[in-house]
Amino acid sequence: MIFLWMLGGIIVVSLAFFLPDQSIDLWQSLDAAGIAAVIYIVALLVYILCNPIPAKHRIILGAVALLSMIGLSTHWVGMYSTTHWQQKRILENKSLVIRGIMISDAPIKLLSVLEEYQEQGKIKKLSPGKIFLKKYPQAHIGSNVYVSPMGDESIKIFVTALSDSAIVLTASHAFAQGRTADFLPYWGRKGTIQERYILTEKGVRHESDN
Amino acid sequence: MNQTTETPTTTKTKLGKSHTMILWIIIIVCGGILPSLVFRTYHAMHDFFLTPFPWVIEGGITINHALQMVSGKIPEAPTLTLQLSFLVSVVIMLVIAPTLFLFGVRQRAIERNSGKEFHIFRWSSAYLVLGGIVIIGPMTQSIPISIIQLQVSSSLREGQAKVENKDNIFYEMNTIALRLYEYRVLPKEYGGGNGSMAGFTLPKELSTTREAQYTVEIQDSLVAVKATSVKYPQGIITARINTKGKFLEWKYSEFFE
Repeated sequence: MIFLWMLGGIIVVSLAFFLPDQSIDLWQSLDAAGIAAVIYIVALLVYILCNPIPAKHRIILGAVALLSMIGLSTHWVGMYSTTHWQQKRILENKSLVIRGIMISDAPIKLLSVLEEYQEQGKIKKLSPGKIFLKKYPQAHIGSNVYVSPMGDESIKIFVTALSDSAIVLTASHAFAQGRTADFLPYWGRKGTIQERYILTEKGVRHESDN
Repeated sequence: MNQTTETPTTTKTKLGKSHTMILWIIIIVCGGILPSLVFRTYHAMHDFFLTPFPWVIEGGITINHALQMVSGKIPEAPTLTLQLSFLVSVVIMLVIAPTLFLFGVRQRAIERNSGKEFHIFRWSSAYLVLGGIVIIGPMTQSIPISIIQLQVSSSLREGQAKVENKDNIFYEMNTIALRLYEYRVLPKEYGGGNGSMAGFTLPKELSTTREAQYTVEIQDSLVAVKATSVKYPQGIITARINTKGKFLEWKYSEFFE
């Protein structure tokens, strides 16, 4: 009988383990196997705790089993929730830092163009676009104007529109995740961060694309 | 007559006890120590492992994946060895060991009720000991470990919330610095200061956010920005910004240091 129970339990738990899609982590498999194991233990307890075990022993055994299952389940669920929360925070913090680097670079470049443009007085000889090209002679649509002080190649700030009246800088990151996983950025992996800064003579507008 | 009958019984009991002890040693070695040594040796040679808490190992893997993603790497799919390690651990911990232990308990109760002669060594005892070796440790640890886990998790969340608040305030102060620079540069017709910071007021959406309340004080060619955290009012950050929107100095209250 014991071997039949064991065999049944092993089959049920193994099937449950391999039932979910095998993704990059094994939480789904572990959870499915855990739930199957709990159902198995409950069934086993019901079988074992019926006669001939004395009532007093039944209560003690049942209580110990229940407490152990509560303890292990709490630990299991707590570990799942904490590590997933930590994972989310690590990725979000990375994104915040990247957005911080982007906002401290791209709009400053544009505002320095605007400053020079406004300093010309009432009669403007040079348009914002011309001033931008004077400052960044190599710039053209699609070129990167960001130079990382740390030599990091994962952030790029592209010139995505350049005319006399408007300049658009699009800041992208190679892999830092943005808000929407399906977003197709100007550069980098699908779903990554993208910020846009648009300069006109009225100022700089910021649009957070992802 | 009495003497002749008593002497052989005592010898038999002594022999029975030593025989039982040897059998118990065999059970413990075969059931506990030997498998442990085999698995340890195998683990040293391969990646296979056994653990009473596979979800703890998976938690570590989850964090490791996040760190890999942060550095631009794509996490790899779990190996078959890892999957088998988890499955075998769950099967041993939650199927085999409880079955042995509980059947041991049941068998002993049946034997006790049958009124047969009581032997220390019997199959029910072997089940009880083998199952017990595996499950007693995790069972006794389960409640304390879950309490510790809850405390650690709560403290982590609290610490992280504080760091996050501080980081968000930095980001918003950067936005304020840009608005100041833009204000100074723009002519009055576009709502600017025409070369001066004087008259700058924070827009409503920037003066109070979910993260902090901000105030701006113009001091000659510099601007002092003060952020008071909404979530943690004792958390204060002050910064001085020049006319080009660059930060010159940061000061933090003790709470944010």
